[in-house]
Amino acid sequence: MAIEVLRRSLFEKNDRAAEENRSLLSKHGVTVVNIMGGAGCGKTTLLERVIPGLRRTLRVAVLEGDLATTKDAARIEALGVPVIQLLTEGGCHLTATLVQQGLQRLPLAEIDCLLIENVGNPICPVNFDLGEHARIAVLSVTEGDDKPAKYPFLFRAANLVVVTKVDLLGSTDFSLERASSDILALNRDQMIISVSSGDESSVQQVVDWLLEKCRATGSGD
Amino acid sequence: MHELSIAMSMLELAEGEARRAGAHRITRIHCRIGCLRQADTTMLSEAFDLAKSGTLAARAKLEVTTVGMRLECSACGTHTELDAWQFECPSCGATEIHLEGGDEIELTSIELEIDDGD
Repeated sequence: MAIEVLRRSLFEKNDRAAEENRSLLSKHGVTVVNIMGGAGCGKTTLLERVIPGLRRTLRVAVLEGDLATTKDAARIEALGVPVIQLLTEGGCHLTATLVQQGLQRLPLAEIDCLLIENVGNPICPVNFDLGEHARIAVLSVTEGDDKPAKYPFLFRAANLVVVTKVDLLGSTDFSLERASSDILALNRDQMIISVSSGDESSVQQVVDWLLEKCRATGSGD
Repeated sequence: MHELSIAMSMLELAEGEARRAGAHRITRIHCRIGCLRQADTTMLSEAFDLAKSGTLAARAKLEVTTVGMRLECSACGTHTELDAWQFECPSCGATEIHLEGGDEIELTSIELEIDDGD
């Protein structure tokens, strides 16, 4: 009988694959953004709205993470950008290894900006580095303003928080003030953008943020 | 349910270590998980029991130590340990904090059996 003290990270394998993804993507000048949030918070709709604006200057592709079905991928495909559906087959999050498989099927040399839509889940995906350069947390008005306090890891790990469905503010008791103050308590420098899919100027703010991120990472030069 | 992923990573790492040590069985696995990982220990145990069959750890016992949050206040320098998460300094209320712990997720030790006569 023997006892070994190891202290090895349980995410060692994932983190290694994430680093490989990051260096492969950097080599091709691809900026990757991991979009996370609960089921039904509006991640796919956000993608549908920002992609046309991004495409004016950048070559965009999407990795769609889902437990099952290709419904989301079909919506993105309709926009005419390359999209690969990653099915986790019941798994509640994407892993760097699964993303690695997706990357092999994309023409990386012809892509400036890769948007990864994670599985709809505000908890598990946060634990898994995919090799991304930035993270967006999506919070919808219909989910309730208590979510930043309930899922602090998601909102703390994000580089941008997008509050969606703000056109429904009047039909819910969601308080933008309460949500913002809870988000800022987690990260006082957090950038927050409120959007409504029908309001072009609000969507443009997210487009501008993404363009700036890609510029800073050196994509699309 | 990232508990299943955690359990599977744990088994993979433990089996690798056990094989390297020439062991035939893993009898105990110990890990440390910080509260920020939002992993449920009951669900982790259940996931572990599901995932362990057919591995060297088929009869292994899982022990999980949950670690609270440790933070250092960037404003007043106080070090605090908390059972649940909080992102402001309990002493002065500042939100400029440095996380010192609570996000651990690691395999800390395993107990192995090596059959005689090998």
